[in-house]
Amino acid sequence: MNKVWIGVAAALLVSACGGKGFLGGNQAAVEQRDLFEKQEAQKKEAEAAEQKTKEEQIRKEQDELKKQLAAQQAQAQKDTASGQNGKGATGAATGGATTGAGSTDQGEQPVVTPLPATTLTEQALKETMAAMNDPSNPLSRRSVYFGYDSINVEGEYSQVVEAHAKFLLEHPEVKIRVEGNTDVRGSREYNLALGQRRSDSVKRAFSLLGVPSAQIESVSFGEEKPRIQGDTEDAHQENRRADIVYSGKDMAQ
Amino acid sequence: MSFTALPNILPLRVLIRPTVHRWLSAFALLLLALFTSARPSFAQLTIEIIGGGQAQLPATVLPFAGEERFPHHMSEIISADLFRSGQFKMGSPGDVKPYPAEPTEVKFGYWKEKGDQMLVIGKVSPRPDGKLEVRFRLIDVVKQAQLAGYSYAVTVPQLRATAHKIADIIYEKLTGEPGVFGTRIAYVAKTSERFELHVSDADGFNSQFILAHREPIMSPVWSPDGSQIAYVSFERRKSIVFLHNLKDGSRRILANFEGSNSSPAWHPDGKRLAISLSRDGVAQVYLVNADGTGLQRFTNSNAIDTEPSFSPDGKWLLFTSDRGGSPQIYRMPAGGGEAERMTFEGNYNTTARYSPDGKSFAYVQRNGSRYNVAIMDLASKQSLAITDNSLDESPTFAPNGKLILYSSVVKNRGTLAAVSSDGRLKQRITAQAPDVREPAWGPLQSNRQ
Repeated sequence: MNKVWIGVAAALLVSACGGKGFLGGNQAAVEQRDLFEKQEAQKKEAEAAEQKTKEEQIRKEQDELKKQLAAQQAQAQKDTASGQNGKGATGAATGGATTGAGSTDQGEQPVVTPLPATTLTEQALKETMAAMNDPSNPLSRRSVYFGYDSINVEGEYSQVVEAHAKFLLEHPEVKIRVEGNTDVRGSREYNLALGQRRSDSVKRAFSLLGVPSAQIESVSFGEEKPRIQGDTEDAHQENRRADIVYSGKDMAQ
Repeated sequence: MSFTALPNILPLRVLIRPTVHRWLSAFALLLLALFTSARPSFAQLTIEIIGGGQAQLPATVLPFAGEERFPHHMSEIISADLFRSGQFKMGSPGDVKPYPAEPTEVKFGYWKEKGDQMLVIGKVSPRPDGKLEVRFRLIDVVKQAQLAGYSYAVTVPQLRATAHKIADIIYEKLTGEPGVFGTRIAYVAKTSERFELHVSDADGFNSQFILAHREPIMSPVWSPDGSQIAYVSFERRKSIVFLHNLKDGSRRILANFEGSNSSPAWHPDGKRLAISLSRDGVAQVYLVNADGTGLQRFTNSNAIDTEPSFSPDGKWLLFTSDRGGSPQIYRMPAGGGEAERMTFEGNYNTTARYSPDGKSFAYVQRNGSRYNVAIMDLASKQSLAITDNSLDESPTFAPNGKLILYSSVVKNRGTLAAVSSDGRLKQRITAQAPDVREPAWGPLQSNRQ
């Protein structure tokens, strides 16, 4: 599979290193450690540089993005009018159309609009990602928090899901991962299953808003990747979380 | 390694078995890690013994003739093994030099007077074929009888394994239970940058990682023959169950379905495993052949079902389920049937592991904000907490059932600890890795090279 999942911001770089470094011997271990340290150093440099340019460009990019999205919408309307399907992402486009019909309110006249099947270019996706990190953008919130032993998406987090659902419906070629997590107390295996219930619960919330399930992969890290270490209630709260992680199959690397 | 039994040249006597009460003999056997006299440069783990000291058997291991010429001193390793078991009171070698290496050289009067009852003597010498000959004898001083005696043809790197084998023979002769000094353990170590799956001897030596990755590794379990380890790896950014062959390092995927793939448990026949999958919704227990074929759903609930454990006869499965509203331990016939709830005290009971004799199981119970290892006797359904730290988890039985290894969080750091199956004797084990968790004790390996 060439598909590389791209997390927003730092996850982008992390995933670029993913899948490497499977070595069995101690000699190999030393080599790997060296390699790893080099990668880490390079990563830090890259991150620092990226942060600078990001801050400068965010506004500019947002404007550009708006233009692009408007252009895409116009293109989509053209496609619809002429009965054409865009290139690529056919499965997602079909799914989008089906779900779009299913989620229409009863009283209203059903308006079935096939969603644009255009593919965000690498550049466009990068810009989208940058725009997502602007705190004024509702898409900048990508975590859903849960109560102890709870799997329910509640309150403000429903709005987080709604904002992303809107974006996903507009961009059927974009795929996301929902990564479920738990606090570090209790059984690791039970927590892995609980984290999966959390990510599945977020996925279900998306489905109820009409987002095709093909656009969402739900996984769990259980208690294995706590965002905050330690045995405090603050840490536990922060770790009971599902993250919405953007990916793009057209992103190289 | 080849070995031959040494002829008994002392008057043959009946094998002595200590008449120790079953429960008393249970708090023996402390493993893992090295004894202070061993070389710390090789150490991955060190231990500290807390409690114990009941009804110990006296034993004196004399330096083996010629052992000082080799990096692994046989008598020190054997002595350290027996000491750590908690079953033995080790005698000092005394000052009669040269030490006896053959039964005819033993001056019984001297040892009797010194108060030694069991003597271990031996010799390491070069063979014409370039190998070494290791000979040892276990001698009952009072009865002037040889209880055991073997000769091994080995290479230098095999000396340490040979010493563990000798300690196992002595342990079994004197306690009537199999020794576990020659077994191996696996555990997950977390460094600041990655996760490592380690395999080491039961005394913590010869630790090597068989897998390292920046994404998490969890739930290692040994195949019944000790040739493979099943585990969960997140190397593809989701949980996938792998089988890892320890002989050639090859790996293959056992389960990679949509959602979570986790919690492997071997059937005692080594041909099948139980796993937990969320492919059909919430996590459920499935059975699958070790080659990945014949996947079959085992539990059918709309709640989390995970952490399966087969009984040693393969007829039952214990697992964790929150079908009653909170995670509890359930038992089901391996051929299918009704699930019977086993735990009722408290609202969080997880991670059941059958004991090697199938008569009890270890599990983790929450008591307030504490998580501790407990043992439940299947016949009486009586439960006993055997650990008392704040975050204990992942219990794993020694293959002779005498000791349980588990992980514990101390100052935000995972450490390993061991406790006798009656809870009386505890050991804290300190690893050099910053964070160690999820120990898995390997099987007895009678013909391990």
